[in-house]
Amino acid sequence: MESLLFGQYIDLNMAVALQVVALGFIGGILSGFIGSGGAFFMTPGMMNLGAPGVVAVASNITHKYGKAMVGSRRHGEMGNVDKRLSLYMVITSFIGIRIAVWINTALFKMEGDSHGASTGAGASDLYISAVFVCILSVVAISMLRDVLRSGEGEGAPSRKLADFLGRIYMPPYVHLKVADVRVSLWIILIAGLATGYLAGTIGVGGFIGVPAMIYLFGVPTAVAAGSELYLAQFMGAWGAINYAFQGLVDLRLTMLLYLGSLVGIYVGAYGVKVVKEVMIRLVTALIILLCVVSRAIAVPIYLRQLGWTRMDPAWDAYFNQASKILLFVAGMSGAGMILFFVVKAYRQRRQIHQTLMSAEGLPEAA
Amino acid sequence: RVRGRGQYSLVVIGDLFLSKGHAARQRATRDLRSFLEDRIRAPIVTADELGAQYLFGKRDAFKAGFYLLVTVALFFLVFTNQDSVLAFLANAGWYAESAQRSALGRFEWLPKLVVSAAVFLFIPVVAYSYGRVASAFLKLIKME
Repeated sequence: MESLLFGQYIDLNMAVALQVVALGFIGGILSGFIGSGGAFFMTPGMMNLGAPGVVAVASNITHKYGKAMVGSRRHGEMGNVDKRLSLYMVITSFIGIRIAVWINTALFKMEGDSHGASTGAGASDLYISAVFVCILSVVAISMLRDVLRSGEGEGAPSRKLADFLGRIYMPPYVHLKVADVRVSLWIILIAGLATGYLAGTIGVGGFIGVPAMIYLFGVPTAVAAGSELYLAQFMGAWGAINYAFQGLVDLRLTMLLYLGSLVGIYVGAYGVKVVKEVMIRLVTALIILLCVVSRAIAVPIYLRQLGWTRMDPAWDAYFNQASKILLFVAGMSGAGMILFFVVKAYRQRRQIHQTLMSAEGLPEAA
Repeated sequence: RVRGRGQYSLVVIGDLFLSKGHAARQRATRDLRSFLEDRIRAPIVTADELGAQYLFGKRDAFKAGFYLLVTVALFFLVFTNQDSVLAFLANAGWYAESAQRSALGRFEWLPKLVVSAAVFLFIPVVAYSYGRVASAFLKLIKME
């Protein structure tokens, strides 16, 4: 493992910096396309570049803070934000983030072993990778099932779970005006806690928050996406404050991510207009699945660092390289496909515009 | 002549009163807009207003230039002083020594709180500045 600055920050050269910008750009495209934060790609990407897992999570949640603040204003203008819902979820999400920061920091600051490798970094990376693999494989499989159901003619999200929970007597209830649903406050608070915990642990909050709003509360999809983005700025801010307090935020990584993501997100959002919804969900599910496999490939490295397996340390580089290649292949394939459709649609629009401009030169009809 | 009420979803006032001078043209356009607003239940906008929103003009270029300067300055500041910045973030090196010698050293958590506050305030500035530059660029290539 390469030496870290102050024991936790990677040494940035131009090649690594450009890769971080590329991570941000691809993550931004996927984020604009899917509606999530893109952390499922950026967090493991930074880990592959040598950043300790907890620093990758900390830098990404800080990046999420600024990006969500910039992006949520638009959703608000379109009437997609139920602030009441977001603020109820914020209350327990802050507790979830605090728990996550405490666990991550405690694992990272464990004593190192006599072989030179930091037990803490290995334990923290293993914990983050395990949570990442477990949660996101469930998300990816659920999305794939959802896509197959759409192919059979069932387009709208299922209301079975929301209706079932609605039948259980759990006062107090809250009426959410913008979303136009009535939900038990307990369900909202538990969903907030889970969202905050995951956001603080692996930097991914949207993949729990948005499905929870849709399937548990019965909130319309557009309102779920807008409200989650509004919530993300508060969760991001709280995560940034907590991780910065522990000295784990690498501002350089956050800023380099912005260079790519704040352009990529527009490209991805443009792509939503020109790609069919079923294709969006299929591409998303496949990319997440590949990211999960990529992360799982890196797990033997951490097991070796903790002394749980006997493996030649020389193999670490091969596992890391394989994990990194698979991640970039997943991200670049998805982003490449989206870019292809975006450029195609953009060129068609320019062609139509030019045709209209040249038609103005024609003589008027009698 | 305006036909009917509530039949329109949007009215755009294009280039009219071209034979008049600039000031007279502005006034006449404003009067026409007022006349239409009294009679039609639909948003009334001028071509200039639409253009300002959707086309990249001088004002956009000026704003983009300003925010680009701010962004470059922030990146330059951080990336040419990486060791100092990282020492500050990690509460180590020069920052830990300075904090020990100052009022911040009174409590162990105080220097860390300063780091949290700095990150909390700095990040929105970076995100907003660079976000404005990115948005202007995409508006320029008609992709926003």
